Amino acid sequence: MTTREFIGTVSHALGRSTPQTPAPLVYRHSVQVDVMQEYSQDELTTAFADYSRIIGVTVFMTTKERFPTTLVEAVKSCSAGNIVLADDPLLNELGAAQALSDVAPAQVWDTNSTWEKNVRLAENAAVGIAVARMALAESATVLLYSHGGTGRSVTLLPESTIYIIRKSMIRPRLTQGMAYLQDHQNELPSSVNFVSGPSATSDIELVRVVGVHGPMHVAHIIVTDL
Amino acid sequence: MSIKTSDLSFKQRMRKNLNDSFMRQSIAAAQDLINEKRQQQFDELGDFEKWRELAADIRSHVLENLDFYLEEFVSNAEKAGATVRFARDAVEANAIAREIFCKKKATRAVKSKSMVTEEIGLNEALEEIGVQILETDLGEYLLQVDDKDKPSHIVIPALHKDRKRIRQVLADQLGYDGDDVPENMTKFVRGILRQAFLAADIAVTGCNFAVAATGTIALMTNEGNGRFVTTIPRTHIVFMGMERIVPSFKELDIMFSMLARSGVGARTSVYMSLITGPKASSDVDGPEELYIIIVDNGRSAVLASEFRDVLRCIRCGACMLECPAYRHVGGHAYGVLYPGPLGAALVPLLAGYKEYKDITKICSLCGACNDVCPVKIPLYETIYQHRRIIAEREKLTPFLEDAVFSVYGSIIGHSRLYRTATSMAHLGNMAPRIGPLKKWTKSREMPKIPKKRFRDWFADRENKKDEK
Repeated sequence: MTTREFIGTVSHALGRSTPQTPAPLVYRHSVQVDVMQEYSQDELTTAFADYSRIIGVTVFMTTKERFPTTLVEAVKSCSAGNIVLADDPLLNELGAAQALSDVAPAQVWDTNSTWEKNVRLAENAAVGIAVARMALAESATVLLYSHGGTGRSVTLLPESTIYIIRKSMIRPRLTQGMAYLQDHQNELPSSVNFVSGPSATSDIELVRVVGVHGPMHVAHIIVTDL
Repeated sequence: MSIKTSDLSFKQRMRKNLNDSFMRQSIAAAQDLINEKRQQQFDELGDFEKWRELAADIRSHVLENLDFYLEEFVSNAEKAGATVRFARDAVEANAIAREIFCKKKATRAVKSKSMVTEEIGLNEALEEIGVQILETDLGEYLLQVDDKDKPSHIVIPALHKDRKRIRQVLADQLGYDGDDVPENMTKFVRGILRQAFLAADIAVTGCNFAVAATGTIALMTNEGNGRFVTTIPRTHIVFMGMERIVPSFKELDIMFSMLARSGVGARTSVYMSLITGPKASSDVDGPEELYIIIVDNGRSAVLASEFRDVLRCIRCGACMLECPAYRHVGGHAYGVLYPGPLGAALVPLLAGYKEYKDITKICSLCGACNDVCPVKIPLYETIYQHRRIIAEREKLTPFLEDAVFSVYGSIIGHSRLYRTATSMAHLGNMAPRIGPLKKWTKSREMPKIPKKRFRDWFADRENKKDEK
């Protein structure tokens, strides 16, 4: 069936022969933008950190200067084993790889290497480290672009994930996350993820169990002067 | 699977499920727990009515302009590198899937929970050509290994199974030798599915929403299987019901906010994956090919009908969790893929009144479903209207029911007959002891009909007043 035939059937069902440009969609209410609108950046940060803890995420607050020490502390709170780091300019700037050199074998996702090597690297790692584009206070969610140096596997295959979050990029809720994507929709990567805590299920007798397919443990490191 | 999930008759399904005390307890407990959580989430959020008005407006706007938005979506998805195909019905959709599997010489597939693939019976169609297709949602997987048992809820498919049963199935089918603690059983399944993900040739997913402005597919999961299937296999096939569209990310915000809260009573799902085209050349992992199969399967006929509003549904399952009839009979009693008020409203439209007329009876028209529907579908009015159509237009009511109502119609339409019949109505007091009412009155009291009619009593009273 061709596009034209299929769309034609839908047009026909709507009582016309071809699609017509819709009248603008009018929003009767603005409830979505009202949430946490009056919060200061500090209050948003507190709300984000508090809800992160509620959903079982370990939270660390640090500065650029103290970041290496905090990162080591965060890694020690996770499952022991190898580490895979996203190839992200911020992690370089903060000296992540150097900080971890004495803690555990840490390797960076390598876009010049093969699928097999990279996926094996992530599969064998206990901890994956990546940088969030934005964080949403209401639901303790991070917005993650999974592309290039931040391979999809980095935050999925290891048992633990550590997200680095810029305090200045903590926003109230999904509304702001979606607005960000809309503003950048021309350079959207093939995989964007909103992630809120560890992988979970309630499929057996509604008992919540973490770590079904994805990470069992998640840590958020909030860098307050970024 | 397909829309029909049981070969038992309506009465057999009812009897079987009403006698399943574990299932009935589980459903009741799940309803109470999730309804409370949902209520709590919406109380916290505030302005539930305004939120759902927004959500309903968005869905109605999309449906009214579905041809335009579909065209926009297809154009943008293709620009992003996806291959878009169209299927009029289940046969066409399965044929396209088989064609892709054959072309890729693929034999192993992993699937993230998708209602539309169940609707078209994709698993069976692929198994016929030798493909092993594995469900990766934990609940769906537990059903699949239990001799392909059927889901009893659209969000929590294995709701009717207890931990003992699950432990037994895992032991019998997969050699599990641990205890029945959910954490341990989940960990066991995690290990099995991890290997399956890594070995799969093709990933199959549904699509919660599709963003027209960018050609993006939005998948929501809590377990992360939606992310897994879109990370490892080299080919990704998306099955999308044609009405899943939202115009832009702005609308996706509203729809997702309602879906997470209404579905499981949470502020958000753990993951929302937004897939726009296959992986870029600068990406290492992710599918190299992305196919999107847009499925009609009866939806365009619903769009053209007086029941268009039913297509607003975002498959959250809140209506069934609120429904008192579903609470008593459970999901399997419906014998269809979509149970509860949504099923009673949607299935006769997608698959015909003749075969599915009975499910419209599993409803007391109480309207509880309408009060929680996040997109304000007039569910019970739709079910009521189906019943009218079944009786008046389709003439599908049983002969006896038809005959009784035809006699009843003649009596109340004729004054002399009405008088005679109502004067003799007290003879009906014997009915509970004989005839067809005997079963019905086993657990119910019939009101006793007095010998004297109200009209006669009133006339006598007035006459006596005059005499005084």
